Amino acid sequence: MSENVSSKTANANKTGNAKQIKTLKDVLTHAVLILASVVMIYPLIWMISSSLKISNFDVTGEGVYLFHQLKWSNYSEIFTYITNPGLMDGLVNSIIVAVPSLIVGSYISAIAAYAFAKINFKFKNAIFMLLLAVLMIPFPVIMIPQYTMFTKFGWYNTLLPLIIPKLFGNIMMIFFIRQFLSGIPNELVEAARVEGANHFVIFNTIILQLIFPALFAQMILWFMGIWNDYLAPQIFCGSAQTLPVVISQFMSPYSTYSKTQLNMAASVFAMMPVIILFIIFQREIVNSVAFSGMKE
Amino acid sequence: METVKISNKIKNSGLRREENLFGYLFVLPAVIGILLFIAYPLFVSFIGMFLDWSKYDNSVFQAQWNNFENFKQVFGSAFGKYFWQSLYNTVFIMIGIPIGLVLSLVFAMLLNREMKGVYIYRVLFYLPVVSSLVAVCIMWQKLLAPDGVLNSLLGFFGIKGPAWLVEEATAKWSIIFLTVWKGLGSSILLYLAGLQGISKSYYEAAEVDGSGAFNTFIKITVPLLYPTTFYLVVTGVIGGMQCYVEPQLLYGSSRLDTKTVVGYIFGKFGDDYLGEASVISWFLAIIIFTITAIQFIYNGRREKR
Repeated sequence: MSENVSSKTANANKTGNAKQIKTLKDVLTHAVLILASVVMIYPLIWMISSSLKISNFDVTGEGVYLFHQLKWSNYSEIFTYITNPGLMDGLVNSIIVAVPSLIVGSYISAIAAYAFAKINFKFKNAIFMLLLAVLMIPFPVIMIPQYTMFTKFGWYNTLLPLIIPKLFGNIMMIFFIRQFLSGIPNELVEAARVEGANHFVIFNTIILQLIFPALFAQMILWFMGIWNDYLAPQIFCGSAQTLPVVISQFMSPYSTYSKTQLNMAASVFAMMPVIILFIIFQREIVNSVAFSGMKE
Repeated sequence: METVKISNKIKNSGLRREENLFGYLFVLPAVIGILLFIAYPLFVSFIGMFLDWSKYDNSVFQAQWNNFENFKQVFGSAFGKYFWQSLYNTVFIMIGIPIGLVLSLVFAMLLNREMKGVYIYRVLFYLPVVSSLVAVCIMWQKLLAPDGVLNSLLGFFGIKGPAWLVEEATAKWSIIFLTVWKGLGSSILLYLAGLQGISKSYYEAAEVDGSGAFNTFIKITVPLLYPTTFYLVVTGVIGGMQCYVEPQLLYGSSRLDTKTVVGYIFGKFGDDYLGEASVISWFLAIIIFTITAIQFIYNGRREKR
């Protein structure tokens, strides 16, 4: 009934006048959004532009103008400009941290999520509540004991404090995949069970394929977190440094890295993998973020 | 219903034990990881509050018991005022949370209109979110420098901008600005998802009733977006209380007017007062738990109404 009424009023409103108002509103909305986008994006564009300048002088002050110099060789200079640890060391270390963590940690998270969603085992809910509780624990409370523990293991000056804990899975990912799996009918698992397949086989042959798109989006989000992480490597890893810590040297009050255009180039270099991944997979990421917010 | 059916079938066919076995096996790594890397450290930092504990101790269990000396040092001693200052700074910087909420709701409403090309804005607004925090700090340090881009732009209008990152009046606001700028895209996305979850029939009914746009916004949109707002406030407070990297990178650790609680913990950690650092970190954790609990209780009451 009410739908009928509303569609009638909608029809009545569809006069030329209403259309004009809609167009006007659209134009205004675009104007506001374009202005806001400029504020959001200009700094990043400026950063890229500054990374191509010839000298420091052009970066500050007159640096408002974009892309009037294009010194691409800045991007080869940065590899010799930053030393001990160098940019290449940082890059290699970041990759060494990200790859095993992502592959093993994501598999472990996905299989745990499968157990929480599709297997009935004793104390399941209690264990799940434990995971939930862990999410509330702020990192500063555990970082010092973690530091002393890792040091005692002899992991200081290595990348192990960044890799090993991640191999045990990622709680956010477990939540997300469990949520996703709850939308998949139980009959699917049930049918395979009746045919005699055990859960390990079912997970590897059926479920992993099914959840892969969702898992992949989560993996990209996790990769971004790992790649950009500054706090953990800074505390735990001593001389074994990932990219964010390598470039953070520019911010030190004792920094001798005074060539701003090269500092910018190194910063752009450090964030490029994530930005490129984001641009390629923006639809998946945007949907995944929106979905994870709706779980509440 | 379905799960009950399956579990019955499994019980009947005697596969119950196998179900348990696979269940435990699959969640075991995650549980071990939590026990080893979270529960155990949590326990250590708890007892560490009462210990005279050093980085160079062979084991925390050999450290000397020092009763409540750490608490006295943190809250009561001549240094106490620095701690309270860091708490004030942290809470001050959290002004960014309501600012971010209002801005992201406004932009989410604009992005929720049916227009061509609206998707691209979402991507643009989200770019700062995925950008490396260290890289954007390096960038903003230059943009906000006394002779930086912002002041050059202001110069076009004949305004002489301050040294944003140096002066005390603007230092904390610079961090607020940076955190809002960086986080806006993600709260916009969540609000947008919330807006798209609101059934159109509500708005149509409001239109039939002759409700004005602002009235509809206050009476329909804001209440129905409450779950999203709740989520954003909870996560915002949890994150805001732990603010550290931005002030640390932009201002270093020696400035008192920008040092946050976590910055203060790092200071104690660096000076090897691990017991005091544990006290502060638990203080922080309890604040976070309390605020979160209050929010959940309030939320529960609201839902009952």
